[in-house]
Amino acid sequence: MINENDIIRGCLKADRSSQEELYKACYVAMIRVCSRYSRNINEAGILYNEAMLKVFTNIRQFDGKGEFEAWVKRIVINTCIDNCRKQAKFKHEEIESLSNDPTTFNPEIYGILSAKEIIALIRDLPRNTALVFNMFVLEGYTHEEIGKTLGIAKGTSKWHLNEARRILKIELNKLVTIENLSNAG
Amino acid sequence: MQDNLNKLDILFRQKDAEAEYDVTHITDHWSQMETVLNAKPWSFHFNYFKGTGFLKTIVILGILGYVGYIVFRNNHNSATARTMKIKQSMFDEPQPVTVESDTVAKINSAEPFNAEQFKRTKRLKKTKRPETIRATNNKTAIPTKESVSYDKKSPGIEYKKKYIRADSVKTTMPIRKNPIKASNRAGSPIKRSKKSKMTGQADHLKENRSKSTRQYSVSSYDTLKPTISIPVLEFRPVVVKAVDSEASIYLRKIKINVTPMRDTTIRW
Repeated sequence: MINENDIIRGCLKADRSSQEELYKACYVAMIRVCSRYSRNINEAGILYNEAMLKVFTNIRQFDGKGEFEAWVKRIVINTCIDNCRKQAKFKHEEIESLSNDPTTFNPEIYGILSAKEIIALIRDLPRNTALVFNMFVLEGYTHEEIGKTLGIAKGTSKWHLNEARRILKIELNKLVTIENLSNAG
Repeated sequence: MQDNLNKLDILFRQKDAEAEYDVTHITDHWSQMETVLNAKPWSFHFNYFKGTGFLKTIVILGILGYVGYIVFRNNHNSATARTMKIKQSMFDEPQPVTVESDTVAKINSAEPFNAEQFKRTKRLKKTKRPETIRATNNKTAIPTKESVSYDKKSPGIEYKKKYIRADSVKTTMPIRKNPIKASNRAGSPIKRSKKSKMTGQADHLKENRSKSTRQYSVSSYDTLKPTISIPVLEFRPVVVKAVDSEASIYLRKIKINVTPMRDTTIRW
């Protein structure tokens, strides 16, 4: 088993086998991140390759203080966000008033749905809304950070999050209904 | 961890952690990555990544701009050199010029040149470009008995020329009466010294001219009526020597095209 430090040292020397080791070692964790920001596996692969090229070319900047995987993940996330930001066109008006969603939400009823089905719903969201939802819910950004990163107002970020939640609830209920009908049938 | 996550957010977090992503394409993706890594640094953008149209455009425009710059610079340099050469040949030193033989009549019939008036009107009016007159070596020349010419080897002797260019010489050539002294013949050091003096002021020119019997050059561009004798050699262009820039300008003023000759071997 090759040590992580050996792999990093090999990548510093641009050793191709070390680069391959690092690429495949990070693939499983990072393709998950890339898939959130892409529509299909090919697009996710392109994002991952773009991020890993940055890793290989800038690996000298890794100071060794933090975890290497966290450093790679940060590069992958930033690459994905940059890519989405290029494609996203946000409306910059301030949206302060958010409508309260009266729909009751019981997560237990969604136990019949697979994780893959649920996560796939995020891809069906509008691109901007999906981006804000991913950043807020899955990456843990605050609205201030999202606004600063994407160059939008805090209220706009909140609106997109609210919109994502509303759409996802509707889609989840549809899925449950279809699943129940198929089970009953 | 954020406090404002609702139940839906938590559900999606859990499902995301549980979800298994397709990792069967790892080999394909690595092969693509390897291609990128093996490619030249400047070319991988063209081969693989999307969204590089701008970069491609910039590179192509840069190449085109560079090529255009090189072409422009070469043209500009050659044009400048050409212009400088013409200017130098026209104004700095006496240059042999070609004048068609049938223009002699024009020269003789022109009004006397007034140098003072010419200086006052420095900017000449743009006139219609005179007909380009070229003295060519016409090898298809036919004999004519009407043409009269001189041979510089036998100065002062008038005789009928055997062969002369029938296409360009149509008028009767003026016959120079003054014999040419031996000292004024081609290659004579005395003639050269006098010619060099003729590039000075008009008075000097006049004085020199009065002393000199040589009339190969357009030297009387002061108050005198210009006279010119043009020796027509066998199958050779008629050549006179413009002594300086004012003479050249004068020739142009009377609508005689003066073309600097590259062949400087023909000297008088």
